[in-house]
Amino acid sequence: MKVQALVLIVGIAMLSFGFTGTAQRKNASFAEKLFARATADDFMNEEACGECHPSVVKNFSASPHSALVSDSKLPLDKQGCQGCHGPGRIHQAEENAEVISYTKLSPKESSAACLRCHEKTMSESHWKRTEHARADVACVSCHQIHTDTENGLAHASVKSDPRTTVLDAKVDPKLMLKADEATLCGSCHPTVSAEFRSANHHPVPEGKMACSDCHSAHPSKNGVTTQDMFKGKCVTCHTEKAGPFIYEHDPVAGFTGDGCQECHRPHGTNNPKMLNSVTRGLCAQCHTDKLAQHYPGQTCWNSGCHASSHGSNSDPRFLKP
Amino acid sequence: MKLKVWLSTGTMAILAMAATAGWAQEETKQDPPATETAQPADPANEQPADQTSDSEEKEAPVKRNEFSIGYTSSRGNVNLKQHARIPEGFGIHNFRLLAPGTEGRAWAKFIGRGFPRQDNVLQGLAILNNGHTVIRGIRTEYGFYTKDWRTKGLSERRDVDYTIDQSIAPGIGAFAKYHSFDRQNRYPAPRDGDHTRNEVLAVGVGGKVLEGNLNLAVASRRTSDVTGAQPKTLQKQYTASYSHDLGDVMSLEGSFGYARIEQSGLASSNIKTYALGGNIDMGPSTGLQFHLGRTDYDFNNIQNAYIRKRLVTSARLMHHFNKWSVQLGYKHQETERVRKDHTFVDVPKYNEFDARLAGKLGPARLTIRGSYQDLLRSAVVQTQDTRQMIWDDKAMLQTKLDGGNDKVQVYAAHTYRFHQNRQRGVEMRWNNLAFGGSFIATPQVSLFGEVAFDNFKVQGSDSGQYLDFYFPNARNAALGFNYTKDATLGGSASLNYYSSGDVSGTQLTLSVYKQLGEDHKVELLIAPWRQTDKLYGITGYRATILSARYTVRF
Repeated sequence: MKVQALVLIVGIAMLSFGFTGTAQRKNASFAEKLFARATADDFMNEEACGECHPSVVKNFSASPHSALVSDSKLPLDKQGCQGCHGPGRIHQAEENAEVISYTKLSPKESSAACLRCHEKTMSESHWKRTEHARADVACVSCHQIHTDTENGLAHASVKSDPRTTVLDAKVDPKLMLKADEATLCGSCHPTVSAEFRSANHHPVPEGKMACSDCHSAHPSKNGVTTQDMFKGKCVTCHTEKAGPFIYEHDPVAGFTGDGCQECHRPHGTNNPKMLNSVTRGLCAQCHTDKLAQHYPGQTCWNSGCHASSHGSNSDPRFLKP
Repeated sequence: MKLKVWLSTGTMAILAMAATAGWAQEETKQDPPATETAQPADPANEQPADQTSDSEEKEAPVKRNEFSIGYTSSRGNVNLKQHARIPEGFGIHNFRLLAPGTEGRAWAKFIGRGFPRQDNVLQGLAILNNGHTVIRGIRTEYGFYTKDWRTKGLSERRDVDYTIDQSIAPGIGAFAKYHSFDRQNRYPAPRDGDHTRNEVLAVGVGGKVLEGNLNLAVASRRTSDVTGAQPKTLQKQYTASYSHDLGDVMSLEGSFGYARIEQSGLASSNIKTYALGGNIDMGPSTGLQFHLGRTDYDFNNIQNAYIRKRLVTSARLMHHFNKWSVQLGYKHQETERVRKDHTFVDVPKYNEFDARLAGKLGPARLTIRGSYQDLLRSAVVQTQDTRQMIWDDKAMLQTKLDGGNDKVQVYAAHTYRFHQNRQRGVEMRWNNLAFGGSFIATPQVSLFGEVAFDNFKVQGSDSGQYLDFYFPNARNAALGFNYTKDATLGGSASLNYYSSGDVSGTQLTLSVYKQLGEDHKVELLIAPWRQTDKLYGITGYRATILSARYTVRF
């Protein structure tokens, strides 16, 4: 613990130094380098883009992104098509023609290009520390900027879930995602999709929840609203289980073990209540001595006994709320 | 109260703004919305975006707005509605209005689904002030029936969520968010239902400050239990973080969080978190990430065991070579756990190691990852049986292979998990195997299939093999078929099957659509769904869902 305290102090000191230290970026991204060498003359009238890419330009107004880059007060390197793809004249040049193509750049370069403007959401170092960045996922793997281009999810869309066609009241994909999150995330996480086909699951296929209600694909400004500092994500919806209770159940509180996931499989199972197992076997994983001797045959909570197994304010054995 | 009234009219305000902006119809070719990916890709339409055919030169009025109305009948008991209510009778399936924000007007989108009754959604997005202001609003309402061995009443949830994002300076943005939800769960007797009303209000600011990135946020989360079983709770959270690049090879982030939890009739609790993390680029293809975190808990009410401090240290080394990447991770965790009788503090310690290897094998991608958690020191439990209850070892190994081409995509994944408690002689082994794929046979026909197995082997010294009885093996399968004759006619069939222990179910869904002219579409759906439960027959259902829908674009 002393070592950790020392490292913390050194780190905070280095951060403080950061306020005054100069940070020169030698390993600038391709997009940064391209914009750095551009002059005002390299930017052309936006209408010129439409001469070669008419479909994209005409339909761009259907994308929310169009509203974000249309301000003429923005610097040239943040405006319109060229704000993302680089100066048009460099793209058109006969020699050394270059363009920021998000499908051809490496995931790292492609994401760095997006983060030129999205620093309000996160910095490049924030992004680097995410699981998605580590797995070479790029922003454009999930987000679709143009509404009329192929979204690269043809096979995922083939795998339609029957429940999605029966139900109407589904929330539309947010934040320019390529598809509803069950389809989009499932295209890379098929085993999770399979779990959602189970008899009991969170209502993600039904469109009542989205993957991002629980998972942070990347940092966001308002992430604070979906994180309970004590028990994490689950209790931000299941607030009746948030506590703190006078009598906390150790694994539920996450004091030891993995919290809710010690008993539940949140994507879905064929067992009731998305439990890892059925009836008293669940509790007997830890309370092995109770399996055969303590009211055998009964379910610990349904029989009216330990009905408050998530925590109680009145009973240390969780018999009452 | 005034705030609530104001917010309850917020959705309508977004609609009004959008209407003011005008549901403009541009003179461009018609394109489906980006999110409508339910149809298989038609290679005939797969021309590069920058190639334009002669027909596209003739500009047709774009019709981005959509309205769907239909009739649905679902014959079955309430067990059918364990996750959501199936629509009944006539209703608006979907309406979508889009103002594309041309000529300097606001960009806006408004969507409604599932009206006039049962589960429904209202969703709006408005981008104003040249993109400097973004307002989102979502109102959802849905109900479901808890599936159990006795019939219950309807459980319901209503959500209202508004977010405003505002640019306040170049590179700096602020947000305000209000989210309220009412959640009522009904369970079979003797368990009491619960009913909570919740409000979350948060504001924050973030962006580039002094060459670094600063984020500040304040949130309050208020929960009221309508049944009176739980105290009213108010949690106030304050978070701050600052990250900075130190030269070209290192970035650091420090963060601090404080939460105060106030509960009616009880003393307040406090939580403080401190964290320091960062990246070190050790070369063009090698990096090191690290994290140090400390959380102090000040729980004044808990009368049994609790933890008062948690320390986490982790590091991860990553390296890319050719088309492969490898990661090695290490995490050490210590907690100060106050015993149930508050006489002593134990310090359970864990080490966790993980590794991940991922890369290309021809057209396929192979991912192998594994983790092992080792309990170095346990905590004393003061239950009747004082043997430890914490897992000594937890291990996981997953191998995933996926890949394909434009025609075929396949995947196979195997996951093995092992949990062991030596003192209690419990060993749990869980194998999960899933494989599947999709095949675009012709431009008209596509197929998919998926199979998953869960296999458990659990034993405990107290009960021999008896514990294994409570971990039923499971099988899930899905098959699908899509047919698109041309842009005007198509259909699909899909079958979902699950089976575990006493429960099994099949969900067959058949649908066909016919385009009537350019802007009109008719869809028919029939879905016989079944579930059987050998132990408690009452949880099963037999239902046939019939649905007809008409959609117009304008």
